[in-house]
Amino acid sequence: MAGNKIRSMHILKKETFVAYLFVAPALILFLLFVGYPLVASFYLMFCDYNLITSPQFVGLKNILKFLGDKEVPLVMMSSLKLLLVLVPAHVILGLALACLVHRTGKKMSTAYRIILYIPTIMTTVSVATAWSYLYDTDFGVINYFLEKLGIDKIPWLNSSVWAFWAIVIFSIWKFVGTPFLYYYIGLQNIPTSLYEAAEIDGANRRQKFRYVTLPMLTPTIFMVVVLSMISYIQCFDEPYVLTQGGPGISTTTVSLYIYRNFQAQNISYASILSVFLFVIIMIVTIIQFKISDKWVNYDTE
Amino acid sequence: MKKRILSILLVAALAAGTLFGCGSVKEETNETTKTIEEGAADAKTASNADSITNTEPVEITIAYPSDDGAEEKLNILIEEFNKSYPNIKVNYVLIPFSSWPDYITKLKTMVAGGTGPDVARLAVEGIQSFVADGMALPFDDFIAENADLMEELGVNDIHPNINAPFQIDGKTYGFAWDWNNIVMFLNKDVFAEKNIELPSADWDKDKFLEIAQALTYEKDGEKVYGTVAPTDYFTVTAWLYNNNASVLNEDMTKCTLNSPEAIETIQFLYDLVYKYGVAPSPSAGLDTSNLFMNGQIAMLGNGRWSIASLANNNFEDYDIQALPALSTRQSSFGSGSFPVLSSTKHPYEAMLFSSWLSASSFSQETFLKTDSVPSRISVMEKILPTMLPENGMLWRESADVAKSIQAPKQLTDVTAVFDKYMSLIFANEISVEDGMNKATEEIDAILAE
Amino acid sequence: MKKYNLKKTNIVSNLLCLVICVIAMLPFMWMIATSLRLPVDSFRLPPSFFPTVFHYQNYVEVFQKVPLLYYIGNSFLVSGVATLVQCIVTCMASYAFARLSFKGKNTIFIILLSGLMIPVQTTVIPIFIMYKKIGLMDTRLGIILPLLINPLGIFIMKQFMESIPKSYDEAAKLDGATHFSILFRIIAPMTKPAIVTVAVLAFVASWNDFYRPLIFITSPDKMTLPLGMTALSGLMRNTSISIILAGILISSVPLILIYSFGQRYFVQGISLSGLKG
Repeated sequence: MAGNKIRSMHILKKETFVAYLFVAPALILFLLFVGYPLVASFYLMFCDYNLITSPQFVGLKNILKFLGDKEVPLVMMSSLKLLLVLVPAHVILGLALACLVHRTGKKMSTAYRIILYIPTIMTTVSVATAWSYLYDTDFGVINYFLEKLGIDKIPWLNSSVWAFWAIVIFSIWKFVGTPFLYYYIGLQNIPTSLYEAAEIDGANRRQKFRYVTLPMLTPTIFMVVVLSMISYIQCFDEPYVLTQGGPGISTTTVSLYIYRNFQAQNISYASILSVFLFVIIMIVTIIQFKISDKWVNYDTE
Repeated sequence: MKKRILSILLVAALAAGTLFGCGSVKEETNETTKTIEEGAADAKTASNADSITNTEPVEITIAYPSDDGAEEKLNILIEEFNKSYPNIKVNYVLIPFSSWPDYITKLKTMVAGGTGPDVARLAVEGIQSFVADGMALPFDDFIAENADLMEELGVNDIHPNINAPFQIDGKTYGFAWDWNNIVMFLNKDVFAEKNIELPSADWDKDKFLEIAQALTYEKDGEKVYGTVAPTDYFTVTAWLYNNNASVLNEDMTKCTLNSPEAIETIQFLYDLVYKYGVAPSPSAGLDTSNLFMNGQIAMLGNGRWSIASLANNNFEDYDIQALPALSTRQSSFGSGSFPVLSSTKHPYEAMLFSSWLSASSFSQETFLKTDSVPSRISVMEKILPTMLPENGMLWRESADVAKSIQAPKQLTDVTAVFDKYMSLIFANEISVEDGMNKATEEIDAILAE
Repeated sequence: MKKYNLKKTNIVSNLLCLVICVIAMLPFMWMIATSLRLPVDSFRLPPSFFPTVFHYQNYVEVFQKVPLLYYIGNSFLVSGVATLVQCIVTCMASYAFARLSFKGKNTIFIILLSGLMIPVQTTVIPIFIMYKKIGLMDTRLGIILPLLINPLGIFIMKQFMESIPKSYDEAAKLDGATHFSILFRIIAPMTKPAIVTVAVLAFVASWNDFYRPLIFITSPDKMTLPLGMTALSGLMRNTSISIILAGILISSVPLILIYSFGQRYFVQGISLSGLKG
């Protein structure tokens, strides 16, 4: 009896040791390249740093500059606008596409799924470069076709209003594949028994969607919302290539603004902005998780 | 089975990767950076005596923008250099080039990271900033002690006006190698199509507009534009000079974009697109060079750097003319050189290489044939008449009177503000006057820091 | 009656999907067609969506304009190593979370997962300073290291592993197997769909990583493809878009290949992992 107990304790200890061993690489890498930099960023906020000298502690100087920077609210607005349009677009369009493809039968749906995910696989900066030619006001393909339809040339990349939509349209084309894929898989995993039960109760297609599909998909929807928010708050590649943040700074997102400061050697200032970015993401994500209890249904029954 | 294929692919990819990875992944060595004072002191003691006794091989590095064919050209130059100076081994580092501010930032990052070169290609756009940061080494002692060498290399043949930007506060930081300005490239085919004569050197704003309008038309559903409205600092400066205006005042302490002449100039450029419709909307991705060759643009303000691509595409039906006068005639220019960095361990060899590169006839006659305009008077007079465009001597003439573009040490920030407001103006989101006023405000703040 | 309705929906849905797919592929068709045009004609309107000219020299010229082979090699090196190492690291960590019990398991799991929330911009600057000190600036190793952390991958694999019956483990333990061999000989092969999914996603993400190379890499011969492509298009002054587009297409080929190999596992890999809920 005692022997058994000692042996099982020994096994437990060995298991703990092995567990830590297995987790160690991931944890060490995380601490080195995510944890430490995050903490260091917080410290850098209070320092002055350019490329040539080591960081020097300067107290609140950078924070005051940040609070007084007139461009920060503008940059935040740009990021916010993009979020408010792109996240719902992804959530809704991804779902619509997934439902559509789901209906097309087994063979074809696989083909459609493959094709629709291709833009997502591509390197963003490369295809964005190609799209910047498509968007050219006088020689671009899009305006060419618009003119054929009798619509005036749109200054896609030369106007604050249209540059925003240029980024939106491109982003949707490029990234809708991800939510689409998640929804598609989610749809496939809804047991048909649920649908059959609903039919027996006399539900038509719309009701089936509303009372079976949607509730079963809420976890997926939640996942899509959280992930796309995180991803779009950091939106960098698209504005960098398509609009360079312009005209003026109308399409400069927070991350592009951070990079511009880095380029201009305002490294410590860029640090503050990046910490700010992280704080926003954290707050937004936490709020989402808190609210999620109210509407996400994890019931697998 | 499939997993095996995937893993084989991965391994093959890795193998391919290491092949082109050129050896181990961890290859950087952290060189200790000399302090700036030490470097300057070394320069003072570097002398002819050093070179005579120094037969030990010395290695230096030059940083150069990685443009089309840069590597090839550098190899040719270094080979020739080694014929006269076999004990100086020159390595090169190519830096991807998208704009001067970007290139300068990258160069500074390299120096800060301890991997800075000994010599760097740098244009007037960066020299003030480097000198202000103490990163450039003065050549004066080197020149004084090697007067014969200077004569031999042809340094004294360099056009003094073109060389001036590299003489700062009474010290010389290098010799101008090449220079460029903006001239109007004319597509002869388009002119011929509409039976219009090429403009003469004394053409003015009205004549320019007249020609531009005549050359904007539609042909087989395709639009031809008379010209292009520039929005970049270098080109717009040329137009400003032609209207007695400029971005900054003479000693570069205040911004003068809000002067009536400057506003008038920008308004004119803006009107080219939106009032007269003779130019397409400015866009970063616009392939103006190819559009010009294709006859979709009739007149293009450009520098001599473009004749290489024209030659590559066998395009010969073009000529050049000075920019039209707005209220006056004042050509601009920007020159380039090879300053030596203070962090160098071999100041004598670096300055020697730099001088040879800048001034030697081999360097100027081979390399610069189809790039910028050579800085040496005799070379200009030798090459320009023998090549396209026919009116090439225009460059030689303008060297005598051209005014350098304004490149203060804060040029990167100044350009950023300038670009910002130009893009807003051309996006119709701010009037020319408001834009220029705001730009002046912000640039003044930058200059005051 | 029911059968007929189903068919009708099928046709409409199929048509719609077809149209959407065509629209989605249009930009690529334009890219292919224009990349084959003569450089001077690249901006000629009307645009072509099907190649009419086959000026394949553009594809050759890309290699002359920029060190494309270096870019491709570097991308393969970085993505390949990152993917391989990351898969191993992720596998090990997921196994620990899925199969072993230890103190602080949940805390560590949440910490790792929170990595998703931390934007690359926040970590880049301190890493930049760190690299400067230890000499990893402008190296490919410097780019590979941060790519080895994949919180989402850990999540996916953990979920998948949890769905594998424990009876396999127990049988192996009775035979005296260590956890190492249980993981690598039994569980890992069974987790194949999740592993392939994570591997493909990791490869694509590493390949497309742009921000870090942008900050860390300055020498052309160490650049990865995305960075190299922007350098290529930065040569706008003397390069035509036909050539740039050729470069872009060349750089996309490896991605498409890897994707087509792995995509069949996506549905399995993600669904059984319960990502849906």
